[in-house]
Amino acid sequence: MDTPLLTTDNLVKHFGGLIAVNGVTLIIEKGGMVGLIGPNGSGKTTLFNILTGVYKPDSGKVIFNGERIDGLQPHQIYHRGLVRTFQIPRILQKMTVLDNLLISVKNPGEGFLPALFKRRNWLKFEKDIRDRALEILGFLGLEEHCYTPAIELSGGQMKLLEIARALMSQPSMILLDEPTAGVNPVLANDIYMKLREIKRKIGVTFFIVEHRIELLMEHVDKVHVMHQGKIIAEGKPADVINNEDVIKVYLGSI
Amino acid sequence: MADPLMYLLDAVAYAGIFGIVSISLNLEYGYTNLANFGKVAFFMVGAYVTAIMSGLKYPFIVNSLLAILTASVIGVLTSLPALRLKEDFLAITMITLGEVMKLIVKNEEWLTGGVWGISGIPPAVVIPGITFRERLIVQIVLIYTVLTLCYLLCELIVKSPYGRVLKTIREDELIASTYGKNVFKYKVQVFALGSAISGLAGSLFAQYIGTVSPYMFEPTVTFSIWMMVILGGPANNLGAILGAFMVEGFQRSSRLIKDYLNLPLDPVNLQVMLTAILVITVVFYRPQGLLREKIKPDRKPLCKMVKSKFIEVENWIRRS
Amino acid sequence: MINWLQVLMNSIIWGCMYMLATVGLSLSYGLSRFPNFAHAEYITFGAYMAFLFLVIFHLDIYLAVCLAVVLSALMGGLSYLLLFKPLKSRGASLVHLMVSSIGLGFLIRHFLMQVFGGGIQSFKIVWPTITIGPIVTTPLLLAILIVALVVAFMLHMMLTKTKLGKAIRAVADNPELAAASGIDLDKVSLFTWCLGAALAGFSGIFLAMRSSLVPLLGWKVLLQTFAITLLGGVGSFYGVLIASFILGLSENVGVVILTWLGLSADYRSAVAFIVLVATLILKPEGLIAVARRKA
Repeated sequence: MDTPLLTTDNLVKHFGGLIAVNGVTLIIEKGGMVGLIGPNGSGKTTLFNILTGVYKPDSGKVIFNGERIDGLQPHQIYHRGLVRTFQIPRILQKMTVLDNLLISVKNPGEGFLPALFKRRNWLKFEKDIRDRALEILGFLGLEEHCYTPAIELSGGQMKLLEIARALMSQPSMILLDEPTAGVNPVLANDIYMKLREIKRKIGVTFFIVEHRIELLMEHVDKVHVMHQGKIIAEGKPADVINNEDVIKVYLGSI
Repeated sequence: MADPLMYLLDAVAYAGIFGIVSISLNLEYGYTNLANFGKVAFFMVGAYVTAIMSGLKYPFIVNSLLAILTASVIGVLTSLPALRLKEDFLAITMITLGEVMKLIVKNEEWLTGGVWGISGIPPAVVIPGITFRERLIVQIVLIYTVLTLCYLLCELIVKSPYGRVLKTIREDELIASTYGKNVFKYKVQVFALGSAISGLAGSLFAQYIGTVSPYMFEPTVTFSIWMMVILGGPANNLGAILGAFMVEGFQRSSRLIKDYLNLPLDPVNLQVMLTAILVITVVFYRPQGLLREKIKPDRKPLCKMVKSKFIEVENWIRRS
Repeated sequence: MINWLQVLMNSIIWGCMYMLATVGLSLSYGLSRFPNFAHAEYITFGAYMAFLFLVIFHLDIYLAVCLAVVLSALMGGLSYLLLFKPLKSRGASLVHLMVSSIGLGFLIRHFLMQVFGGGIQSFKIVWPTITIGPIVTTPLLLAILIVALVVAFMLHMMLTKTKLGKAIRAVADNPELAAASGIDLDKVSLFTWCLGAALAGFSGIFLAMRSSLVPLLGWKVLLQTFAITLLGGVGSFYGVLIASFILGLSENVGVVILTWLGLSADYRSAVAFIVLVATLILKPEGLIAVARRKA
């Protein structure tokens, strides 16, 4: 296997007196579908925030595609091919579903002067990517809502839109933060089937925070378990589930 | 009032000038959620630069360009520290900036004429041998031409991918940066443009009134502009213009009421108090203002867009 | 030859006045999560009320001051109850709250202008000068010093020893957790708003007695109050305490430097502006965050 896509090396992050991430080292290979589980408060979302540049780690490194990205700003990390979704969907409510997707692509019309003077250029660009947008929306069952103001979508649809938006940016890797939270089990399984199909088609790597064990067992290659800011176990889902430490941690947190 | 028509035309001119400032604030606040509570500072800079330059006998076109540039540069420099932070810090910086700028104006007499200001600013367009009324009409044509150009410029900006980024920043800065937009850069650009347009409006104001003094640029002006944007409808450029008309009309009426109702109230105090009550009422009951934001944007080539804008305005006038 | 001891004395007195003027702003900003631009007008309001009772109704000075302070507290409480609390419960955005506070400020100021006229008023009190060594002072300035010390001491006691004080600190730190622990956010907020406005009114009386009573009394120190709030750290009483004296000192030393440079002393406000901008650039969370980190 050639160099892994994402590596972290002993990441540490404090908030005042609280240590949220306490020496996390992990490796994610290209093309994988990897899970991240752990009780609430174990530092999963903080880890995601560090990976995407929202937080700067107090120490440690993040290496993505051979390049060190810790300390970069979120918008710079996006351009290196890493995006994420949010546990509670952050949908742009005053814009249409289509606009929500269009925003996730680097558009020539987004510069001030090109927006004014190269109108024909970006109009054409938008027409082209609109097809891609419709394809993604169709794939996720949202195409009829293309021009609907996003605020009118249901909760489940918003979660799908979050994923659609991430896909639209054609990244190398997507961090999904609880993509199936609050979604009914049938739709949840459906989402994972779709994710696997996308992985097959365009080779995106997924790193997913997930609570539903049955989904992990079925769809995911490898799982990391986090507890109190540390990775306490990693491996195939079946092995990890039966790991003594993992069981203790989950039982302890009930 | 000796000549009601002149008074009306004067109000129309004021509304036009403030409409330009209103559009600039709409770009900053309505589309990008930048809380610029120091609008009057950039308006004042534009007016004073024009006044000073006209004293040095430069033509208006040079004066106004310099006014735009100065206002823009000052805007960027003073907002830089606060733009990385939340909107309340920007608000505080901007409000206090206005006060500091007035301090400079009042004290540096050699440049600004101090508390007496500068007078004798010639109008931009001088047509010899016309009556006073005709001069007023020429001014209005000038002001409204500039207003239309600013309106079209801002419409082009907001109905483009650039505008979409601004709206994203307004709604959710984290999403904007997660998806590759350099939020800070956009905020600086918008602030530069907004300040530039305010400077232009200040320039027009100076040549319209003919004098400038620090007492013409009180914080109540900023407050009125905010009223215009909020009342007309944030994120709707036509709304910003509508707001300008309504607030200017409202403020003039509240000053005139004194003549007709014999209240023992000073007209300026009455105007400010009523404006304040109006703002608070609007924020309470209808913060989205009169004209709503357009969510489904049009995507047409330039000439069709301009044409459709005119048709839009025409229809709106016809309907009301 | 500059009398540095006098400069120091002036700095301390200004620091005291600024402290009284700013505590309310910082606390309400921290609790309600928005800067109240009408706060400056509580300062003006207190001064005019004292003027009303003292000069127009000819009441005893202590009574007049007490009444004025109580009315200022009322003004603060009413602002919260009638305007800001309802707006917040309607989900008004930060900008909406700020705009409304500016409106409220104008409303108060122009109402005062309508009632009392827009000109300069005076308390018509002549304070005898007291000379202590190289320092010249008056009973007024000494009163300011004493009041500030007493208020600071009492606030410190309240915040650390009383249930209410601890509740205030809890809410400022983490409102959700505080509410979950059974603290009545509403009561704490109301008390803080009243207290803050009362202190502001008190400072207004001192400011007006020291210079003159004009409608822009509070607005003239708006810049300073915000510079101190930001420098000290929003919501922190101890931050305000430190920052008030830092600004008092900076401004007075600044005036010395300005006159030495041949610039107008009016630019003393520019010192506050520089402090404000410097804070934003270097440490937007304020000095209190620096202190906490070291602890």
